[in-house]
Amino acid sequence: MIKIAHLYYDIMNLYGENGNIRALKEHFERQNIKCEIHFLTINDKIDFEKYDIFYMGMGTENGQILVLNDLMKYKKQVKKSIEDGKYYFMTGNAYELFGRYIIDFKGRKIECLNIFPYYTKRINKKDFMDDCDFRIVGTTSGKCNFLDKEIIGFQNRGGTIHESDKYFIKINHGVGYEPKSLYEGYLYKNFLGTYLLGPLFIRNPYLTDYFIKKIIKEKNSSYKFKIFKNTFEIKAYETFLENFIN
Amino acid sequence: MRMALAIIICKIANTLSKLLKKEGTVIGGYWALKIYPNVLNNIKYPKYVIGVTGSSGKGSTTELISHILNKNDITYAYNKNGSNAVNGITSLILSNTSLNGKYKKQALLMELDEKHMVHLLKHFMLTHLVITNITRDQPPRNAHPEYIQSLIKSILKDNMHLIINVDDPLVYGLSIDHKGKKTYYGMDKTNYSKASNLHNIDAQYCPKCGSKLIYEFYHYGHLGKYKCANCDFKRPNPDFLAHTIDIKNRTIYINKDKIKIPSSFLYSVYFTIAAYSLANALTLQKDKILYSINIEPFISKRLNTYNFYGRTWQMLSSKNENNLSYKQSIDYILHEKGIKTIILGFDNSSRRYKENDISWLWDIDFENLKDKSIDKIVVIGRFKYDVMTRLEYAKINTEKLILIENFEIDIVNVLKNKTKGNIYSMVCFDKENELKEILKKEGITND
Repeated sequence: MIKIAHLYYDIMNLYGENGNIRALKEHFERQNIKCEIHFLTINDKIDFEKYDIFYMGMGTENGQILVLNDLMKYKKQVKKSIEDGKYYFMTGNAYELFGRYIIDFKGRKIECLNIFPYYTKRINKKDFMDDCDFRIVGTTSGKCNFLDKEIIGFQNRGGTIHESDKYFIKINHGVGYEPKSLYEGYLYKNFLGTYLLGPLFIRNPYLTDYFIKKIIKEKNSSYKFKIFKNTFEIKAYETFLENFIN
Repeated sequence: MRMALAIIICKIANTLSKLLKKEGTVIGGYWALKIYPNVLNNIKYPKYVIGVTGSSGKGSTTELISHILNKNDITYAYNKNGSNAVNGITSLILSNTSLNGKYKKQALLMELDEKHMVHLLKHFMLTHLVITNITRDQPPRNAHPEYIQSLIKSILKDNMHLIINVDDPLVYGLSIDHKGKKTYYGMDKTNYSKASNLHNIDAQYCPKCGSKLIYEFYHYGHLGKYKCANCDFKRPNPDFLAHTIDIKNRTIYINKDKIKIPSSFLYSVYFTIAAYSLANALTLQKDKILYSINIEPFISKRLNTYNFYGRTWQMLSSKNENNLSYKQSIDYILHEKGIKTIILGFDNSSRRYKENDISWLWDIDFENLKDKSIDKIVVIGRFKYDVMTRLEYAKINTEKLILIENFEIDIVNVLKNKTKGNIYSMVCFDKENELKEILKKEGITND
């Protein structure tokens, strides 16, 4: 039995992020592993010992700060559970919260969990009125160092990351931490943070299975992992590569 | 002098464009602004300058307002073709302005793009602004609903009369600090009222105190009757409340008056009540407003019906990157009688830009299609595997799903031989045009 906490499911769910939780559940169930999802939000008591996987998606700038105020209560527990090797999948601006701070539009510094050394700068408001110039928007793809498959996704964000010491993917298409950067995301132990928003685990079935397999093997090293070929997810993934990346 | 020149150039450019069989509604504005960037600052505007904006429903609302103004003998111009950005509106205004800069009609009515109007309204003022809703729509362009809310907020002035949908907490939130006139409209509970199971409701937290809003019911998305558990923020009592809603028989009540709605879609309740509320804000006579809505026919442009070898085929244009547009098509289909075949799919997420985000597919309640009245779902288009994945995750019986690889070649045969019941295509405009072409080749038109 795998237990997943969908953190702040009702705020950090701006771009179809519910797909990620469903992908994880589906992929576990294909391996005949039961999977339970708990939906947790502001003012709920979150037990960071209880779950195998924590997931959080993208929110608006205001929503993100509401969440931060709640999450700060658990700063120590979050840090400990990351060190203990719990799985954290943080997509979109959720991953900003694990850095040192966010500098907002007005230049104010908002303290974050301070678990990792990076910080976020909201893209300045002076270009706010022009067609979304203040956000980084577009298809993104790149390679991670643990899987021989291109990671695909989409970004739509109002922040840039600075002083990051680790990465998730090396960019082939699109931009990284900030427009000049070729690296994107953060990987530390079993913590994965990435600006790739929306249904990342639906769109990258190989990535999903990589983690599913790793999690299952950690619990049962003799487990025989079933391979599913030609699923619609895989066809969608390959078609996208063909049409837009390669 | 520059004014006259800008107006003349605008008219000539539009006429030439029309002669070349182009739309002729945007290019004139473009050239006029090149010649005289502040031309709109120096127009003598009429008594009524009406804007209609929001993520969806603004086109239909504007159309119905146009119909009401027409039947009330008010002279007006409006952007009938939907050119709702800066050049289109400039062209609309200048086409109806004398060379001395005086706008020639009694009212100016504009469907306004919620993003572009920020630029436009630097140059002139609205007397009335209708705000229909602020929902997830084209995120690569619009970021997210709270961003659009902040843009609309930046153009509000206290001398504007706001006509707003208070069922939407993001829209109502805009009016809290507004010191000018306000007219609130909203809708009572209907038999369509159902919450989404996707946990993707926007604006769930109180804009005043940050506590979670409690909903008595949802219409769709975050529209419904809400209140904050902690402070006094709540959906206020609407000045004009649509109630006793009978979608099937297309009748509603607005306060004490029985009103016809033009189609069996829930959104037609909203655009009817929005237009009705605006007409009241203009202090038109009530009997004339009622006459124009109830007696004179008004046909909404969105419904297209064809006869496909003895089966009814309805084209429900659904806007990509707008989950609630799809949801309303789904709700409509589910409330129709009989066995149904559905066509789904798209080639591009957007007509406006090249970005192909597909996250919005996961915000649509496709789970609701697990309904025994649905015989088959036919999936077409460049993103067919993504759509199939989504439907599979919605746990729709795979025997009900038909994937078409070669759409142009196979669609007619598949529909004829492998599906039954009435057909509902809920695809975006580009695919809809292709379907129309295919039907045309079969000799099927809706003339």
